[in-house]
Amino acid sequence: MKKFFSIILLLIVGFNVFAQNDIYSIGQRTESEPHVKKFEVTQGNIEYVLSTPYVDTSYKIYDYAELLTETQRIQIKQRCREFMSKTSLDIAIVTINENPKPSFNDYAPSDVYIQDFYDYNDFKEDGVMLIIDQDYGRNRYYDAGKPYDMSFIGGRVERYAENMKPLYQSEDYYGEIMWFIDNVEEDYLYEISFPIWKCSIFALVFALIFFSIHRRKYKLKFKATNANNYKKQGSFKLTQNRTNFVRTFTTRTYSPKSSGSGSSGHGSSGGGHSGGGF
Amino acid sequence: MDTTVLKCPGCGSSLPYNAEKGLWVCETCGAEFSEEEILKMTEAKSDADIDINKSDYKEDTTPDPDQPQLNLYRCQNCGAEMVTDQNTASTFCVYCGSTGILKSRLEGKFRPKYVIPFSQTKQQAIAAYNGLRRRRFLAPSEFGKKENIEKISGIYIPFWLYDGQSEGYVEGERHEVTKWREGDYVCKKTDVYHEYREGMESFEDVPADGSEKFDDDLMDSIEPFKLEELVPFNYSYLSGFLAEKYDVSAEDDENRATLRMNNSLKQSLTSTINGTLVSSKEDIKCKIEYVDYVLLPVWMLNTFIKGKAYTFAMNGQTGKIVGDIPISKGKAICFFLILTALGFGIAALIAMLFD
Repeated sequence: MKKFFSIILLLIVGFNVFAQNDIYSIGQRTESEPHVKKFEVTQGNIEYVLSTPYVDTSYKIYDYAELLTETQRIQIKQRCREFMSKTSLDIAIVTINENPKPSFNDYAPSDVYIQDFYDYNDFKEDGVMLIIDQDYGRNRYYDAGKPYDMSFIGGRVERYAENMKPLYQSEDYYGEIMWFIDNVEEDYLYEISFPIWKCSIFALVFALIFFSIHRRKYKLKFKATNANNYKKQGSFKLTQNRTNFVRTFTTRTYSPKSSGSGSSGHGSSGGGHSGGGF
Repeated sequence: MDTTVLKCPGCGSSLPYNAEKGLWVCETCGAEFSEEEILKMTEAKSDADIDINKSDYKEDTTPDPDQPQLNLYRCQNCGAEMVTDQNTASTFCVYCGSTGILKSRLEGKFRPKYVIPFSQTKQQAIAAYNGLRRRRFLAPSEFGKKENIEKISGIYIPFWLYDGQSEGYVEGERHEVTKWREGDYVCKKTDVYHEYREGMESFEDVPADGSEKFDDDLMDSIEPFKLEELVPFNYSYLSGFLAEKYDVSAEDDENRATLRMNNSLKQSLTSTINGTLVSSKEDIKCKIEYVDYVLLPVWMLNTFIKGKAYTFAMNGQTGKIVGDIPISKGKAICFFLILTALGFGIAALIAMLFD
């Protein structure tokens, strides 16, 4: 009897563990049923598709690495819903312990994972995603669709890295995720708000340029600085002509990619951008 | 000192040069005379003849040090006394309108070798001034109107034409930059070359006005003149126009011409370099080989707009008109505001389209 209960208990625990790890999944991907709606599945990307979890996009928080408490997950999910109602964007937060993705061209495995996860699941065209990749000790975010415009906000990459890295290092994953959501929301709402100051600067520059061009029509008096109209035909003689190599020097400047389509080239990521983080 | 008045042999009226016809036309009887006929008339008759008369002339004996030196002359046509400054070589009697040519001021070293006769008339000069309003809507409404022209004069202005050769070198560093990306780093390779170019170039007839009275920049701006139309100087061309003799010598004016020649040689030398010099130094010298003294035709227009004087000059040969056109502050502010509003509208439209 005791043995029977032990087996039942083990089964329950085992099931719970399995359920916890697979709670977000809504099915298995196969070559015949890849469950990809946004992209065409080809021989070139099938491997990436099959290694991507097929998840229920309503969860918003996918804590595979179990870095958060249940209460924190609920609070984050609640915050994600607020974010979605304010911005009309989709959002996904993922934590992983193991990353099976290989690197692709310039994209590190964390970048490949985050793009595949967002693009091969049924998230909206416009959305953002954060991944905490414990396998590589990295933290990346991904802007898909409209949020891609935020890539042009000056210093955004550095600001996110500077603020999120200390939270990550102190293992305050909840704080890090909440900081990310707060700031993406703020940045996006700022980006889509009617850009009065941008329009004003454009208007002033526009007016100054056209005014200066027109102003030049009023100045018809100039000092003559050359005698090009009075050259004697064919009189120019070049008596010495030397070009000597002196030296060469090379400089390297740190400049992380902050723009571009973000396409990893294996079929996903239409108009997205990843690479922010640390 | 002589003052001569070119008179019609038929009726005795003054005989000015008509720029439109290229002939001397009597203002009273309308008789027309060609250059050959005028030359024959002036050669056949001495300075004392009735056509080209000597006048009484005396220096002002009580010069005021605060005032420019003035000279008196008596008009041979009506006997009125006229005042000129010391550089005037041809002027008008304000009473009878006759041209008085002070021959002695255009003799010896002051005798020009060549002259370009006027091709543009006074009416064309006024029309050109009016034409400056076109597409310049910021100009005050008073600008360009004939009634605001204070004075318009056709003047032969003394010019020096310099022939010379510039010679020298330009040297400096040129950078060739190659950029590429390595992961998150941008790499920049700079190859540094030392460039040296030495050469020479000759120039012909580089003009510089020899009168302090006229703004140098204004005189520079009416260039170019078609110097192939220069004709040997003859006093008759001055009839109907004002004329000045030089008061800046060829030596004193030389720097303006040599600077221009040296700049042109520098441009020629640097144009042989494939790229731009980052830092450069040069040593270019110019040797003046020949100088001609000529009179060139210019229409000078003086206007008063809201109490401020503006001067315009028109090339009396080609019709090119120059000068700084005034801008109405009120119109400028309105125009800027309209442009700003337009710019804001365009920006807002772009923002909405790409949202």
